[in-house]
Amino acid sequence: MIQVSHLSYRIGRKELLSDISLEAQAGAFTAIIGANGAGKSTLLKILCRDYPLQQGHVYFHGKPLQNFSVAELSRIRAVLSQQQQLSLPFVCEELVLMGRYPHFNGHPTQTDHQIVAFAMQQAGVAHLKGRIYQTLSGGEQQRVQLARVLAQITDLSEIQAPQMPIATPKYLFLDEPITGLDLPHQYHTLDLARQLAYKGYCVVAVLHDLNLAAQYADHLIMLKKGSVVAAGSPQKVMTCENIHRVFGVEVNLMQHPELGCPFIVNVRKQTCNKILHTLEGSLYYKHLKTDKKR
Amino acid sequence: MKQTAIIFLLITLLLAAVVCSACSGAVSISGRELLAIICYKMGGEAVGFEPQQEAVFWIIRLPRVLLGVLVGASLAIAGASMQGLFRNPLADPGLIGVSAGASLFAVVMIVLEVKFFTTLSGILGFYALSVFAFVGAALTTLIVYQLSKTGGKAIVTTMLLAGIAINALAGALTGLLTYTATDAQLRSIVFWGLGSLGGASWESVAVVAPFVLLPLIALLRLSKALNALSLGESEANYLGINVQSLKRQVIFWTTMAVGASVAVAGTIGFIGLVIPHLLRLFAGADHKLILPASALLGAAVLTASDLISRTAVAPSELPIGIITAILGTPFFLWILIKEKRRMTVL
Repeated sequence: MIQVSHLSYRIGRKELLSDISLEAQAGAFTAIIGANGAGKSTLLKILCRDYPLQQGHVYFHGKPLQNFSVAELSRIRAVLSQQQQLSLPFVCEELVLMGRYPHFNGHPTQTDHQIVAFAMQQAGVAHLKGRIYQTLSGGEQQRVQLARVLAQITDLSEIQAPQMPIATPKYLFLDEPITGLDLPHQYHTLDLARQLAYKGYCVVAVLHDLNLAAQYADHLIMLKKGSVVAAGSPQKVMTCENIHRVFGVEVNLMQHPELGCPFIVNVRKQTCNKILHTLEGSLYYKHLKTDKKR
Repeated sequence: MKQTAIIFLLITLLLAAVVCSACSGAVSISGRELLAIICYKMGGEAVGFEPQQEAVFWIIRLPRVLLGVLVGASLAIAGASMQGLFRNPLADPGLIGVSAGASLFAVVMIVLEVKFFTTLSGILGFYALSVFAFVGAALTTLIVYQLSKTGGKAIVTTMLLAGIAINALAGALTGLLTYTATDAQLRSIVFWGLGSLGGASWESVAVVAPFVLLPLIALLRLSKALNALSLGESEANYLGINVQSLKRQVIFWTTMAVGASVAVAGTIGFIGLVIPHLLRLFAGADHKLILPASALLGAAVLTASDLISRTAVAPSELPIGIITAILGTPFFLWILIKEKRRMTVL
């Protein structure tokens, strides 16, 4: 479980996060949502220790984050980042094997290879074995990175008994994990994250798609300008007022036919009017121009 | 396994280069004679070769070949490590000022020797120039590293820019000194700048060996961390790598290896750049393979280049830097064109 209390972060004079307090439970999928520049990635980067802790406290299962060693963290916490560029021509399974680096010295063991194969299968990239990373499409690259991240925090016991709850606390951070993926892989990735959460992982993701966030996450944290606007179950957080407050748009909410979670549809009239308006404007303008020429 | 096969192939190649180089020259030694000499040195009987051959092999050839192996290995492994550190396949130890610093200090030594450094060379003897060049290499790298540090972290792009600036400055100062140099000094500056293994002796091999072997072992142990670093600094950190310490180690060990090589053999270009690149084309990107393979191939190529430099215009010698550049440049351009094509295809 992750506890964050009174966390603030500033770069120069700009306050990116101000006095944030929140919790992300083990065994739950927590999604951070909010407009661009709301501080979602900053928050995640502090949780990943990319950014230093300036003010406030962060605890992972009761232990202050700054008390973990780099090596200790690397065995219980994995991060899937947004940009994934690679300068050297690594083969996919070599890249996934890097996820096992915290677990072996010198040469990888049989277990490591087993976990690599399992993770590649889980992420749906087993067929990309032997391919050079740079020759893959953007979506495929992202899934190979997902396999690497999974390999980092998967234990042998999880392969042998996939449904069993995990024994030690583990953390998975995903920064916009589905951007750039096609629909089936979006679902697949989020399904995976949800399965891991049910096994006891503490999963925290930054998501842009509110509908998918509401469908897959157990817990939503809504940020606006560096502060928490709302936190709790999707039903509680995804209200018309909250969405208007955070994104400044009017929306209609429906109920998902199977899951019962809120589902956003846009207010059609307003958008249509706007389009018509601009269309008319431009036509009118063109008309004027042709008139003048005559 | 593919990896073992590649390493085995490269060891064979290196041995072949060493034997060829040891046997060819003004006094030629056949394979049988070479074996006989080795047997004699191991405590066997002195038959099957002429005493002159033994003297040439033992006093002139072998130290020179060994020095070539050491220098080639250190330049190539330093290049491979630098490319890993900068996450750029076109990086080179020269980039952070190692070679330029060493050259500047060597030229200072050559030009001002008469006036200021007679006492110093008196103490250090034959190695004054080497030691001074090594100090220069270490000092410039330290300056570049310090310049690139922001808030306790070395920023790699800043390091690159600082390296270019310091390179330019060192080049200008070297030029200034060259301008004031006498004719005799000019000759030694030019010869030193082009690189040569001509100064090889058992003493110089003994002096260089630890400065090459230590970095070699240390850098090989960093291969896993360099692999992780290719994912990016944050990702390497998520995988439990202390990135700042890794940067310091790579810079320290490569400076030591390259500094020592430049100190005894002058500046020899293209080995550090081309060898790792060539290997990546065939053997992939894994530093676990690329680092030792670079050392082996670098050693083999430099030994072969030295053979050419000794025999091409015998009885005089071509500077080895010319050979590596003449062979290296077309190859480097070929890589560039290939990269360009790959970019347009993707």
